[in-house]
Amino acid sequence: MPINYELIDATSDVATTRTLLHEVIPLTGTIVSGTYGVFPNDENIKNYSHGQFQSVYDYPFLSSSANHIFDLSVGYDETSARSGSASVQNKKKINMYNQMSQVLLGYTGSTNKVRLFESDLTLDESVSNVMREVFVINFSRLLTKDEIKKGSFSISVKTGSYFGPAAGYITGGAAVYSDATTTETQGTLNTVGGDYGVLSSSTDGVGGVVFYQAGIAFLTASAFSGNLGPTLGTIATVKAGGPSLQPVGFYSDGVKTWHTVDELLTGSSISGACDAVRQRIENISFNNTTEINSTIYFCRMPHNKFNYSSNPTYLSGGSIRVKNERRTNPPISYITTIGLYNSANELLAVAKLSEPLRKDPTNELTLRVRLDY
Amino acid sequence: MGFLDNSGDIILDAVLTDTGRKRMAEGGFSIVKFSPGDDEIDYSLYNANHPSGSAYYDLEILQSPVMEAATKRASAIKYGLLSISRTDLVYMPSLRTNQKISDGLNKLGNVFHLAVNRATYENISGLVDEKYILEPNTNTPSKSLVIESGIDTTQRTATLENRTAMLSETGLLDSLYEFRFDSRFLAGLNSLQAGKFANLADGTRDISLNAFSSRPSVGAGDFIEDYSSAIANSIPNLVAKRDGDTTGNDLSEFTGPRGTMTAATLIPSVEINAEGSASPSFYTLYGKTGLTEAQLGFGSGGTLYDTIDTTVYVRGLTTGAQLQIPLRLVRKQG
Repeated sequence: MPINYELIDATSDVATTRTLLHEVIPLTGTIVSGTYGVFPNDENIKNYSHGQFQSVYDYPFLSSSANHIFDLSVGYDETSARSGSASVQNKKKINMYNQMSQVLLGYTGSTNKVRLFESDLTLDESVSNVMREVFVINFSRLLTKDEIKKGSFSISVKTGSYFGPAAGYITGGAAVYSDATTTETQGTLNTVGGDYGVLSSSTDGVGGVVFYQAGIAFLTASAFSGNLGPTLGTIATVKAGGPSLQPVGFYSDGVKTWHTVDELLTGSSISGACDAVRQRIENISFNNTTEINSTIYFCRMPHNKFNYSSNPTYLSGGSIRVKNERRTNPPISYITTIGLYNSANELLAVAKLSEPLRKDPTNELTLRVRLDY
Repeated sequence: MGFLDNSGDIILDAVLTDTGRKRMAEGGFSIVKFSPGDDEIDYSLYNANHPSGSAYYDLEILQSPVMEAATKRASAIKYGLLSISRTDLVYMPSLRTNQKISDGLNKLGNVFHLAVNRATYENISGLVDEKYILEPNTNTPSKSLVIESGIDTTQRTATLENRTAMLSETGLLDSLYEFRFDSRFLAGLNSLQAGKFANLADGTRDISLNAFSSRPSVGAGDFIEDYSSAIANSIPNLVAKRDGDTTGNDLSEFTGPRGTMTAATLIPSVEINAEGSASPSFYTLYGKTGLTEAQLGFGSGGTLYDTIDTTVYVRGLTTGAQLQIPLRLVRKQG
């Protein structure tokens, strides 16, 4: 514990800053399906008994090394044509849609009805823009950190037909939906769930939306109607201006080879639908954002302070080594550490210099110690 | 802890300590002061006779690798830099245990010994000279740990004039000493409150160390886990070169000017001071049991002992000079 301290003036020696850090997060489709085990029973995919969503890990989830990447789910609004008592897990799919909607978009109308997701930035429930059936990709906070950086999100999905595991399952095209037209200051709509932007493709139209702070992307069911996909099996809920035709073989459940998206939404469980979407994800990429709030302490060492040391090696036979027995030689010390203390002399933070810094009466030092929170 | 990359620009690697995080969780995080340290520096690398000139004197020091900041106690600054406005100091005081005066405890086998209870003290003091065994928990000790400060040099005579010039006038007299000890084994400290430590012109001693009192201790966990500290007063160390052949060297450990001194005895904790044949668990956990007199250097009898080795740290609160005292806590079995 030191003997001598120097006071830090809260008005002149302390500053606060805010910095945004961004990391590139690339997710390849091979991690999502096919790398660990045999699809659809990949060891990095965790299904739950409640069946409401599916978790994707970057490694077999039973391993302590596994990191949670995102959750997948599917849902539709109760006004969707897919909604009906005959649909598998109908209630849970509606619940999933409603839960997402109420958290991210809130309620509307005198009856407090949850809003519908829309493929534009105007929440007017225009029939041509509402997304009544959505696939949900709910990213882990481990990846998104504080938020997804606006304008950085893109997702590439296979839009071709499914030929079954033996034949290799996807042929045909891919659609890349991104929020490239969005910037930090424009191209988003702020809602109760944060800002969202539209995911679109110049060739395939609008594919969904992404909520930046929540870290959740929604793909509309019609996102899989890529230009190169088979031209059969339409579903009713297509976006305005987008292709109206869906790939025929969206998914095979092993019983019937070909299922359309429409059949998937009604005839498959949520986990089954997630499996189908999972194998169609080619790439996901975005930049996350970490907001770092920093306090900078300016540690000022005047010329007449901290020039001597109580380090035991400072003396040799009672004589200060660096003085070499001459009174006129200046005292010298070498700083390697800065300790920051409270009024009770408790060490609250410590900073290390990468190399020793010479201190003597001819110089004054100001070390800028930044603590990030 | 790794070393910091020192191949490029100077960087500062800053972290919150465990105490800092705790205070933040409690809502009491407030940094109000700082202090620089130089724990990694070995000043013996300073070569004032480097043949290539003064630019090379501290070359090796400036190349010293510095370890990453740690969040636990290892990050604590052990010594620290001193703010002394004078720039013409050539000498600084250090600390020593005085084993020359009859009041001082002496090492036996390179360690000091403290009897943890009365039965042990009476037993050992009957086997070896009293100067080798410290009586526990008393304000009237026959022997005590005597700590001196002074300048360890033969280049300056230990006159009172030099004491004034080199220590008093330069503000290098330690008026208080901090004792830091393992609170698991030692409950506290009795230290000297007043007295006299001097010699007379004819060379005889003028020493009176008999006013001891208990000192309160506080936790010093940021120094070493489980450690406590207590502050001891000092008295002037006026052993000096006087008339004729009187140098004071027979009474003081220093040959240069002497500064202040203190003396202390220690209080064993209740976890280790029990009398009887059964060894308290601390001896099994932290020490040794069933040692013979021969093993401990007490003689050749058949009595068995339990021991715990620990270190007491003493620091002058003005100069920062430090001293480590190796201490063996001894308990007689039976």
